[in-house]
Amino acid sequence: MDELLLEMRGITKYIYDSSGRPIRGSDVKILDSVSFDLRQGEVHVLVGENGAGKSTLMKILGGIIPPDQGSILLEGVPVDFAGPREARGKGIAFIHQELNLCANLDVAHNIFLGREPTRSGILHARELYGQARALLSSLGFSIDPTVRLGKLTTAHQQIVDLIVDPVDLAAQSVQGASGGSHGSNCRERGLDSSSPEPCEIKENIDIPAPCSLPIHALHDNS
Amino acid sequence: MTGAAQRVLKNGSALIFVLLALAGIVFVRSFASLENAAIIARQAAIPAIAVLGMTMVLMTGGIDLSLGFVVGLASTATGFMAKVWGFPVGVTVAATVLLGSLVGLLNGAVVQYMKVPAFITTLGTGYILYGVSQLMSAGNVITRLPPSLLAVGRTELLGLPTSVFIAVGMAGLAWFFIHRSVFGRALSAFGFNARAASLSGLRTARVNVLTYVLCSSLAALAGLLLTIRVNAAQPNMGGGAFTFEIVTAAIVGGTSLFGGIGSVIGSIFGVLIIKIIENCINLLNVSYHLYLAVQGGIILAVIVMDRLRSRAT
Amino acid sequence: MVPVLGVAAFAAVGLPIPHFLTAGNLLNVIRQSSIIGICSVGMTMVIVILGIDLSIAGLIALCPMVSGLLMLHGVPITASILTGIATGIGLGLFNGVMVSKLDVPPFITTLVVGQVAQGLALIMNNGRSIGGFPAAYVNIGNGMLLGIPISDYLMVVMMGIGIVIMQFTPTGNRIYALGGNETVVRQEGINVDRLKLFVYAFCGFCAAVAGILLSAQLDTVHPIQGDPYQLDTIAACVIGGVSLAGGEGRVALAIVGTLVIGSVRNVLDLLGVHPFFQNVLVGAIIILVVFASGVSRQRRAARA
Repeated sequence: MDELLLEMRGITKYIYDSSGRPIRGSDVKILDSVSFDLRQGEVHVLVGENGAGKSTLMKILGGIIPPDQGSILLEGVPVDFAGPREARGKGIAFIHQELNLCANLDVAHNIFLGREPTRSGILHARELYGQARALLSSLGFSIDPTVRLGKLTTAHQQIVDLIVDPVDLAAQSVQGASGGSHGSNCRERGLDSSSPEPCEIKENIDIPAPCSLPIHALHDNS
Repeated sequence: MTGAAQRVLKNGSALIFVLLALAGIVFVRSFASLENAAIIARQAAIPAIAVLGMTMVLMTGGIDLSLGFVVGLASTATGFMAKVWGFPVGVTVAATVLLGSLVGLLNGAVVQYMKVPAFITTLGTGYILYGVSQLMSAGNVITRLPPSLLAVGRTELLGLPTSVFIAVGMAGLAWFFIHRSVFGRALSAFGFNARAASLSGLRTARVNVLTYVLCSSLAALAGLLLTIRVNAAQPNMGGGAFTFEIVTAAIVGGTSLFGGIGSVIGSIFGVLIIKIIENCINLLNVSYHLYLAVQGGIILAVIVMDRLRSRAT
Repeated sequence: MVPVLGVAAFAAVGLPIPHFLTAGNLLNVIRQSSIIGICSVGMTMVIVILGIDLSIAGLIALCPMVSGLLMLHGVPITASILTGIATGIGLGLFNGVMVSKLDVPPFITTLVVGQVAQGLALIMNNGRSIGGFPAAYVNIGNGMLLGIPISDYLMVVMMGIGIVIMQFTPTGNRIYALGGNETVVRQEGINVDRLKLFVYAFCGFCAAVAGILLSAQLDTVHPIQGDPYQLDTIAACVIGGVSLAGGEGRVALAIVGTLVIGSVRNVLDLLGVHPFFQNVLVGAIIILVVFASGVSRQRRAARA
């Protein structure tokens, strides 16, 4: 399919303070007319030196800060996020490096935190682990739901994170690769009913690894 | 209005102190006299010395729950040194303060290097010290201390005992240390953000340990003076109630529980506020037990106001 | 790890002591430990959510003082006891409000509430003890059922309640989660304030029950009877593997820790060790256990 899922056009952002507003009296641009297209099913890699503006671009995409100039279109429709919640509502979310999970609980308890299955008030353990097992195997992962989250590998923990927070479009910030096979699993299976199109920000790599993914490079223009 | 006066007024505790003093003068008979003022000064002197140390510890974001028990240990040790072993006065004083320093060193080392939270550490060491003091004293109270020792705290100058002047002197030193020296700035920085302070090159480990050393040393000095004042050396001196009173004074004086913010002047006023209330309660013949509950109410009110105020900003 | 060591130490120390490993003495140890045991159930929950409760001592003094005075004035036993328990729950709720709504550090608010409670216990009867309670009440503390002290049953019941809450209800899961990662608990839309209120209120409830039981055992309410139990409760939890870093700790193991502390005290008593020296040991034990568990946690984190 060739339709554009996401377009970012001419995004310009001046240097900003902690609330996202431009610092008065400065004309330093973090992003200068950046454009970026994403089609259904694509995985993109965004590279750049420290301070080049990768996180800023992603923050704008995620609705955390507003662009000073430029526009974002989702499936051809211009969007203007008032905050991260609106972005999430449209299916854009982050998979953070710091996982939003409890390392001291097991996988099943993490997945069902807040909506634990109960039988007259008491935790229904069989349902809890049964549903967790079913969910994990339907996605093709061989993760044991009774294992403490802290004992899983980082990659597995991030998968559980995605399961807890399924999204349509995920921007993933990773330090170092999180493994090719997992990435392809996500792309093939999809989480929930729609397939995620993760676009990754890889940090701390010296040379872009040779790969067939479209690579966008942001240069520090100061 | 001078800058200093402005700063004092901004510090709420000074204002409360003035209001309380006025209320005392108006409502309580025999409050408004030089004698009563001297009594309040006398009562405030020893806690004032102890609160200086606690202020420093609170500024680092920690707490010293062993303070009252250091007082008890110091009292017991003073009795032994002065009466049982017959040490000269100078040695007794120096050794007692040194004993406090060693306790503080232990507290500081455990908190800083063993990473045990301060409230657990000092709670534990407090109990340990209490046990040690009790064992040392074997249940006895040592009284009738040598006059040369008593002179250290009891000599009268201008109608006030030396302990008052010692307190003033210590307060001055503390003020200088906390508000005008590199140590004090390091203290504050550590309290606000220990990691940032450490990364900017401050010797945070030493600063942290030093605060506990100073706190327990001052507590020991307070214990010594208290022993002199009542002419009795025993392990029950001070105790948990004393610790609580000191913490109350520091918080009423504006020292923040979260670290970073503290004021010597504020803490001194905190002690004075507590002592004025105590004084009025005595003059009005109100039950002392009620006062203990009231003390708790005061600190709660102050904390609540402080939290509400920082919410509003 | 730690509880295993505790049990081993228990066996090693207990075997050579005459009279220790007799059924009568052991049941007595449990009966005396029941106070700490009941407190440790609530304390476990509080420590799991990264809190602490230093008001135990005050509540163990105040709550039975309330119910005791009521009973001495002719109020029926059940109503008196319920009032005492309500006092504990109420003060626990107050702690919870301070911690959750006003962000006051738990050690300060509970320290203050404890002092206020202690002060009130002293005021209520002018610093004097009260005693001479109805036989039915005293029987709770000293009576036997099928050869086992009622106190032991009470501790087991409280332990059971604690275990059910923590291991078998959604609330328990959320309490552990809160100790592990408060952010994600909020993100899932769970009312964190209400969780904290519950935990501190429950801890107050436990302290109230413990205090009332103690006074039933002694047929006295001494206004400062709570002091020894503050430190021992924390020691019991810490020995039982409840981590001060939050998120870890099981009620059952806290009870094991209780029995360890209770046995240690009992053994030291049998050996004629002075109570004050016992306190020295307990204080040292707490610090060492917390240190050791901190070190092992760092090692595990480094390996992962």
